[in-house]
Amino acid sequence: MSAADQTTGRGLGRRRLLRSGAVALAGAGAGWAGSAAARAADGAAPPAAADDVLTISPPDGAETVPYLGPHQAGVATPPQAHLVLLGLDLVDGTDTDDLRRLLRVVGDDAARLTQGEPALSDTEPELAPRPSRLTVTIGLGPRVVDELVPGDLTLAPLPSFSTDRFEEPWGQTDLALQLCADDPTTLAHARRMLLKDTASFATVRWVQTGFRSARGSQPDGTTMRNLMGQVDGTVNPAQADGDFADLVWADGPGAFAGGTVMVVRRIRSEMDTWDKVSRQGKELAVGRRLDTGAPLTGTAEHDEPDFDAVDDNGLKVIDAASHIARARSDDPAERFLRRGYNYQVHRDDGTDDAGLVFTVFCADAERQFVPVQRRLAQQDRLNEWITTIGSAVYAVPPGVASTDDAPGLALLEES
Amino acid sequence: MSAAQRNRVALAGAVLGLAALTGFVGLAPPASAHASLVGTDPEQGALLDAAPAAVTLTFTEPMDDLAEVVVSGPDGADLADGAPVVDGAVVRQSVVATGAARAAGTWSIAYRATSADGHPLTGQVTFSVGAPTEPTSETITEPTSEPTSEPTSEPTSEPTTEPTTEPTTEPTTEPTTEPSTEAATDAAAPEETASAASSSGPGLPTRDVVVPLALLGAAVALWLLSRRLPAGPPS
Repeated sequence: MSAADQTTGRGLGRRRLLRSGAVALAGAGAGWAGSAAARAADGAAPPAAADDVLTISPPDGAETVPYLGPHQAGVATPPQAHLVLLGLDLVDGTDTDDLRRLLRVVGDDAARLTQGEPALSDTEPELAPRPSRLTVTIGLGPRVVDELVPGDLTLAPLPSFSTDRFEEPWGQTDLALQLCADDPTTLAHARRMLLKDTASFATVRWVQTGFRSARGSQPDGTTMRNLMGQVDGTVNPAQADGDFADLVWADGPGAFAGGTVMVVRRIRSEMDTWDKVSRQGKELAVGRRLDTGAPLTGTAEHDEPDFDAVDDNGLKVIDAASHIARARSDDPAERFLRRGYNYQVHRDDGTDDAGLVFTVFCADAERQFVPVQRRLAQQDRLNEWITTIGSAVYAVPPGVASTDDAPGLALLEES
Repeated sequence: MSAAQRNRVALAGAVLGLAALTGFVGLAPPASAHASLVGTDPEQGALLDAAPAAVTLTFTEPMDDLAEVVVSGPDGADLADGAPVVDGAVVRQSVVATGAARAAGTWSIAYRATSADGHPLTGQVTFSVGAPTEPTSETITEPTSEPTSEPTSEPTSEPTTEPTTEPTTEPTTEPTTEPSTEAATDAAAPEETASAASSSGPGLPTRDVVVPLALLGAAVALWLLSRRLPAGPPS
């Protein structure tokens, strides 16, 4: 097996080659083989040349996600390891011109920081050169859409659901800034720059931080596990799916074409009671095996669940009230992109609060998300151990083609 | 071996022993009092004159609203009418009021109910309508042939006599020997016993290893400490 074969054989080859550009190509022969070998070693001693090789091949920290494009980054982008979600409220008396200035500032910071460049007047420019796939995604809340955005765009607040148990401060804000990156240091810097630069326009209501498994700890594309131990997100639409664009990107109105709607639900996991449930009870509640994530009627994660299958006693193998049975819709339009992150914070009472910053992107929340959530609120075995403590919805404007523009500006030019 | 070295080894031994002991305690399955089934109506093995309008299952504690009950007639058809109603510790399942499937013979109730803490209980109960079909004793054989042959002599003669003599013998002998012993002996849910067995199963080998290890560690520690004592004051 040649060196090149080894690299692609590990599944690391193509993406890394693409992103590494000229530097990597220059050192291709030895560099990639060494890099792959070092990565593939899985605890074995790296080859002697590894140190030299790793300085040639760019580390993950150098990887960037394109900022320009028809859609904002951070939606279809394969989820980075870390999340900082900022909920901002515009200061009193903000008008459309103020909002325009804010969007320009955010857009400019995003354009630079995501590409590994310091923001304007960056006080810590040394923290900028490792963007680690940083993305900055801005969303506008219902009040902003209603009062400051001319044109036909509307954004209804989500209806209330019987399982809602909201707690301060996790409610609807005027703006959301979703920052994602594989490196928490990068994220901390971006967070600080954006908050400094928007401080004269808006105040922070909440910050929701979240995490997934570290980059490189498992193969890219592995379905995440939530803190309850479940494989979470198996049936997420993939970009390769024919209907991904229809499910995620809005086709209007007007300048909102290419935008999307972001739903943020803060869902606490009641870990103390969940921990007392037998494995059997946990799997019954979800309808999937805990180890593989396979439906209880299957053997592999992506096996199609058989909701009609019965056991020897005539009882349904996948309980009709299990999470996957209740979440499933016969209507293919009642699907959406989930891009959630685990959270775990310490409370003043000495206990941990853990759960999911459940983030959804869809073209139309009322059409796609609300019916599913309504069904789950009505009945879902998992409800015993999960509590929705926050909720918000945002219109995420489309992307921009030039750094002279900024996401959201076009919406303000409509009349 | 110097005193300091011995000291260290003794300490390590003690720590090892202690760790093994606490590890053993930590590994022990948590004492849990899960819900269990205390009774059913009809009871396991009951003989009814007529098909029931409903069946009920009673548990030791209030159950979650989400229960599943399958009531099967002699021909295997599901005779449950609608969803079960959970009222505290009692799960009630209506049975369809009409239909040829409400036939004489052996019926079964399969259930899955979850306690408030999410622990599922599943099991099966069998009873007979009209007459038990098992020709085990004279006293039972007599009435069996009578009531079954009478209603069957009319239009249902073929379908009922066949199922009652043939398939019923099979389902009755099996369930009565298996689940009935569980249901009859302590009225505990089969699930409960099964899960208890499985949870203690993997614990056993660990205990076999851990306990001797703990004792060995403690013994080594004691031995080294006892050797150290007369060795004089530490330098």
